[in-house]
Amino acid sequence: MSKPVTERPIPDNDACEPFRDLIFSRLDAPDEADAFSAGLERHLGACAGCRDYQIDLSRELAALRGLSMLPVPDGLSDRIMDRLMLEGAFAVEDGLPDEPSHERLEECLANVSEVSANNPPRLLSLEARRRASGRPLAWRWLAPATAAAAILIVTLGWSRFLLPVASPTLSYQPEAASYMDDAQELAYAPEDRILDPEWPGPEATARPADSSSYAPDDDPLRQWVGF
Amino acid sequence: MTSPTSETSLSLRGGQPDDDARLVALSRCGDAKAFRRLMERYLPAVYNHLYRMTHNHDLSEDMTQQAFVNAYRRLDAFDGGRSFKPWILRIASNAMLSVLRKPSTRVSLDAWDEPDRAPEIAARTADDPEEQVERRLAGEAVMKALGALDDKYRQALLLRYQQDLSYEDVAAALELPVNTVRTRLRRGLEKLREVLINDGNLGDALL
Repeated sequence: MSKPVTERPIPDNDACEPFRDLIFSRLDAPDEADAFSAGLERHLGACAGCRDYQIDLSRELAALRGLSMLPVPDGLSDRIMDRLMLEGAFAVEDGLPDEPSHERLEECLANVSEVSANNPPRLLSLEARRRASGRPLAWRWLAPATAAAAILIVTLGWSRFLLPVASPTLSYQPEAASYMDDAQELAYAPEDRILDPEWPGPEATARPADSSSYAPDDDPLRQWVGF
Repeated sequence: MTSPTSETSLSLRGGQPDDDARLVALSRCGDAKAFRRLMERYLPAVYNHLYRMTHNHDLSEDMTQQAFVNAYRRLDAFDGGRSFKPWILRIASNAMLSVLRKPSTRVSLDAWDEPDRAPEIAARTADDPEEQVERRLAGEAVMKALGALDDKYRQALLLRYQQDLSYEDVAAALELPVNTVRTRLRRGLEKLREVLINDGNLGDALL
């Protein structure tokens, strides 16, 4: 527990004055003050009064900076606006508030344009915008990419991507479908159902195991096919 | 015909940064929405400064109203190249002085002995009960000590350390040279220290 503060004398020494000014500068604006003044450090090491002064000022500043902000009374801004309205503020001369004179309107808008020209919008780099948004840059492309994919799917049709349906060629050409049926039936038909009477049969068309004795001109399959 | 209100409000919605200079320019054109936005931006600062100066809620509310009415009337005098906050705080200070100078206005000095609500609010934001008590005591002690100071010191200390204004902005708000502001701040802190020491609060409340 610290000693009773009322017993502590308030130092009043002219020799300490320049050091107290340095202490004030150091505490008031630490970024701007010479925080490493060797002379001040030496003085603080030797002067208990200035050490107390520094501690007290730092406590005061902490308390002042820590003063909380009171909430504004409810409806205060409305009351101020109402009072201004009653006093005729926001009403433009020579007419009703909603119908000002043309000259007045032009003058005001010219003023706004001038102010806007002198205070251009701040242009941020992509990196700065990314930091401001708090999201990685790649995520920014997610929404446009999704939209583009959705448009592509709608344009080209769902069937290309999602629904495996029968070929439209077969669907709309019944003759072709019947030819396919015939071909399948023929491929799987027993030998006795082969309709071509000149078909030499599977044994005759089987290629001999010894390929050296194979004579293409005597091949019954080639003769049947005709080349 | 297009009204200035609707026309100029469009430029507010157009994605432009609504800095103070632009809001002032729009307010000068009669744009109520722009002035309301400007006012709501600085209302807490003005109200709190006036409350810290007077320690009286009703009086500070009246003065806040008067300050913004005066500010609207003098918008043409605002230099768009400078900060709006010291400008409106200077108008608030002038409004306060004019109210306090009226013979009909009586500010009880006992008001400074009444408990201040602000330290309670600050204390509620602390999680630790011990810290809550410390904050409340520190707030009460420093507010009571501020009440014992001369207005010129109290005003400088509050503008610098509560409103967080730069020396240049404090100088603009008080219409004083920067060196004078620095001197007032240092003297104000030393006088505050004397009061706190005499009250026995510097070692106990302001740890």
